[in-house]
Amino acid sequence: MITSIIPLTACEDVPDYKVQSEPVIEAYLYEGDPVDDIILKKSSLYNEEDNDQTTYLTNANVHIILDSESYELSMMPGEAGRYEYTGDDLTIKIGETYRIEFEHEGETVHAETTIPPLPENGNISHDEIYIPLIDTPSELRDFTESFQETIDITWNNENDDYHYLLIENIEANPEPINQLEALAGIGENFEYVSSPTQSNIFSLRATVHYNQFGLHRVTLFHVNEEYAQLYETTSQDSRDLYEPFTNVKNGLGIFTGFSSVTFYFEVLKK
Amino acid sequence: MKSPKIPGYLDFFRSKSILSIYMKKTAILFCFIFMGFYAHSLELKRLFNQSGSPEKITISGIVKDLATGETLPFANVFVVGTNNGTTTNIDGYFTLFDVPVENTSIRVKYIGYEAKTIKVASTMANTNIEIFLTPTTEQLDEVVLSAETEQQVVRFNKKVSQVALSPKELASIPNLGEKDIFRALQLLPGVSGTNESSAGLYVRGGTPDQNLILLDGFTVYHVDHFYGFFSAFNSEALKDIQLYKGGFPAEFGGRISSIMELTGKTGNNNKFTLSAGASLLSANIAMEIPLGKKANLLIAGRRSYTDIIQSGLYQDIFDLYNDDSSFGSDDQNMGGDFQNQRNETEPTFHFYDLNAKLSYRPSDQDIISLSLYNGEDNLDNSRESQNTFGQDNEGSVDTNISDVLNWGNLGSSLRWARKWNEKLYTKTIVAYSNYFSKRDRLSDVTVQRTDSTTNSVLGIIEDNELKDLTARLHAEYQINSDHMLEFGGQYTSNQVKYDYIMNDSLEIITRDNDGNLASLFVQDNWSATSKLDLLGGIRVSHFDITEEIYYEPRISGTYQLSDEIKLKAAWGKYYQFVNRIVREDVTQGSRDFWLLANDETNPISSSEHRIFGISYENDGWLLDVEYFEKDMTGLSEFSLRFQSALRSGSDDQYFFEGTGIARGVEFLLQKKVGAYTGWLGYTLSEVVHTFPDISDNPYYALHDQRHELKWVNMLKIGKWDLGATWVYGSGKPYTAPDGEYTITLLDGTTYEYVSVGDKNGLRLPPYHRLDLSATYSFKLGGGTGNAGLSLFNLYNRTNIWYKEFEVVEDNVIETNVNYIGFTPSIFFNVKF
Repeated sequence: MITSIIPLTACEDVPDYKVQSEPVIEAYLYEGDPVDDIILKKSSLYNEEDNDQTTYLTNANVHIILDSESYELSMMPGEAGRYEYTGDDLTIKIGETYRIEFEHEGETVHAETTIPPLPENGNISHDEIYIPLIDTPSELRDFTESFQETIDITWNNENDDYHYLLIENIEANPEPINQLEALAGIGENFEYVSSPTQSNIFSLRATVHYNQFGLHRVTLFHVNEEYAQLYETTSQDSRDLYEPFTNVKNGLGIFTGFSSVTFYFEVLKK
Repeated sequence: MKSPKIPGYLDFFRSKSILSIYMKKTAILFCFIFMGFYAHSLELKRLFNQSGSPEKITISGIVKDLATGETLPFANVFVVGTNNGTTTNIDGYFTLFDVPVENTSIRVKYIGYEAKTIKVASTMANTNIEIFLTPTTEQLDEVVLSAETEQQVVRFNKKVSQVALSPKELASIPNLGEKDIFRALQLLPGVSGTNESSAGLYVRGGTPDQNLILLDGFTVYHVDHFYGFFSAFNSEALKDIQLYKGGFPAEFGGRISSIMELTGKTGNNNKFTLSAGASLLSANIAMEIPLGKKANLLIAGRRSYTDIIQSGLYQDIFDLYNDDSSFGSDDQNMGGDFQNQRNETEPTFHFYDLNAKLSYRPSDQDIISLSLYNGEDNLDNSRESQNTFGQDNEGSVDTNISDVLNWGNLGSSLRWARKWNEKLYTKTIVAYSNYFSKRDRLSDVTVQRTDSTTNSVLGIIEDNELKDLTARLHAEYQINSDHMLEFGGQYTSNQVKYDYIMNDSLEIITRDNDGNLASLFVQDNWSATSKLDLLGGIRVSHFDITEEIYYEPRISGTYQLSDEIKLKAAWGKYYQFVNRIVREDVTQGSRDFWLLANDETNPISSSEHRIFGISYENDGWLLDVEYFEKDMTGLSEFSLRFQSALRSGSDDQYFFEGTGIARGVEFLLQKKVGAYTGWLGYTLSEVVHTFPDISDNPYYALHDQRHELKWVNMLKIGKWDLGATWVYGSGKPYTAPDGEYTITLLDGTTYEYVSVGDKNGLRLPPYHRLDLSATYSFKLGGGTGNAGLSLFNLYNRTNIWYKEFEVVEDNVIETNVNYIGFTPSIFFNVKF
């Protein structure tokens, strides 16, 4: 009996609970680019003062590890918490698995990601489209009811991988298609970001995915599931709390890689 | 491809862990002891029969209540001055072998009744004798209370981890106006006494769903009324309660923690009886109607009226003691400029239940009964609150939550029991049970800033229904005075539906499953020697969803070291095929629902019990210590916290499988007889769950409680019954949001995420409360009555049930949902 009681004094391996802020990684690796988009910060606690200010982790000893090679990052001058690799011997390559790692309060915070292949066989259905200028409400109604032409971006996606698209107007002085809403964003380049999709086609519709005349750039990103998961977690509601997605061990946030292809199309006045 | 499943018992024998090796040795030792003593007893019996002996007879009969003619289950019948004894079965029948005729008496004892001694005569052989016991509560005049008067509310130490409770004696336990079986059971060591809101009993680290509740043979899936303040069972309709806290025998199956077997009253055979009672919260009425000489009908009903009489004494007192903890915030800042405000809420409720039982005795050997139970609860947890934020309180958050739940159980059984002869008894049951639970919650939040107003509405609908159709056969064959063989089978067909819908359209879960379970069991109650009793058996089940066969070997035994000291041990394997899933909800408190196990999303649960104990008992006192350890596998939890954000249409992602271990030591000191009775119980225990997909580390289960102390005092002075109970439990775990962080996605948008703290990493404050009661019994015309006062939570301790959180504008609004504060109650009962 005595021997059976003794184990109770030593509890199971349940760690002691501590309310403490956790390290957060916000790091993106782009195929073909240098490593310069690594941000380290800390979560803020509700019961501490100034919790609306982001606390960055400065002077962290951060490494990107590829195979057995370790590349030490340094903090970018004037940008607290943002790190880069200043050497020229590290280029992000498709198919390689990278690990980020640093020590924080006695624990190794780390995450891994593999750079996905370029979107396969990406194609744009046509590189120009004619759109009428919309000046009156009746023209707008006619346009929305009758204009069905789309620009289709297609790619091969047998494995149902995640992709998303960024559509940007790259004119110096873009002119709105719909003059009725011209004042709203005058002079600004329209930009549309799709949510991650497992499809193999994305149809660009006028006034939805682009609403200005001129040259547009479409970037088709091939992303990992971890990014898609985090993206979807943005719908987290404070009244229905759950832990946001993270692929970081001993921390929070995201470390993920991308590859992309680019297309261009021009919107012309009919 | 699924790998072939190795039966659990083989896992155990193949395992190389120290614990398993230890248990392996224990099990093998049990087997050797069992086989060795079996051979030894047969040999002794052979030698004894050869040598000749004085005339001995077999006495067979039935034990009944003198006043009502009701049969009394689980009464002790034994030959005075010997260890030769037995227990009546659930229908009151017993058979006592090898009773010497010369100068011998048999004694019958049953809690709540005067013990009776009968001189043995040779004419008793081969006839069915009837023994009538006088209930102690019928005696309103002052009686001499002695060891012979079994007036205890509970009786421990009969078998390993088994406790008997007398519904007749419950008046001595403080309550909230109703005699309550769960309130009494929660005062036992090993049964959590700090769950006013429990959906049943948390027994030795198990959850209520792991506790099989049988009422006249049908399973009851939801067993309490609101807050757990009342059990769903009307004690006026019950005759006997047996609780097996662990190590239970093979005749019971389908649960991995504990068994509660309730036997309904058959009613008064001799005269029409009407009883009625009322408290500040509810009223009850019961009728016992004889129908000729062979049949009778019992009808008992209860309903609370707190929803109707809002301005009554109860409400006045309730408001008086809870005015500072109702709606609104108490502005408790948690540091800095942040107004982490706390709101309090008290739900309103009403419930009803109905018991009916028709009994028919076509012969002395047969009992046929039709039993019906229907109970339902309605809980309205709706509330409004207003909180402010900003340096000058310029912003406000208006929260309007409509939250309505209703749940209940409908159950029925048709039962035929027959004592074929002095050796063979059978009971056949066909039973139906239907559990339902529905929750409709709509949250409407308006955030008002100096320059804008935003409004959001979030709705949740949960609908759970479980149907259980069971046929069961149980046979008892009394081979001789040393062996009683029990065997039987059971077939259960379950249908379980569960819908969980958010915002009227998003179906988080929709389930509609059928499952069939077929089981056989055999067990032997073996008096191996005059000091050693063993109960060994095995249960074999087939579950059609998994197409697997499950083996559940079990053994328990007691060894009488001396007249007072008894050693006890039990070991067993248990499986469960319908599970209650805990739906973790950090913001709104965790809820639960029933689902059929399928070994894919919510697995078959299993457990292995190991129990060792020692007790010292004399006529007046009992000191009992039991160590228990329960390994559990196939535990399920459901959470939205960890859902895959990419909704694939499958709800599998919301279920998590884990394991658990519960272990602890129970100490009990009981004063059994005299004007003052009671007990002091202490449990030291821990319940640790391991769910790898929820937490990197093991964590304490929601119902983990390190220390629990219960002090129960009952004093009988003349016509007065006085009671005082004090319960203390260390704080239980909970999970809370602890911070936030931002991530800028590739499109340049910065999102704010809430970081949820370690799973169950925080502890609520300790729970404790003192209850008092005083009951006065009297004669009223041709009947009897009692009236009394009960003071619940006398010193108005604010015990927290759970916490709700809302995160708005960088603030955490924390709401404590509390248990009920000081609540006095008066009650009045009459019986004619």
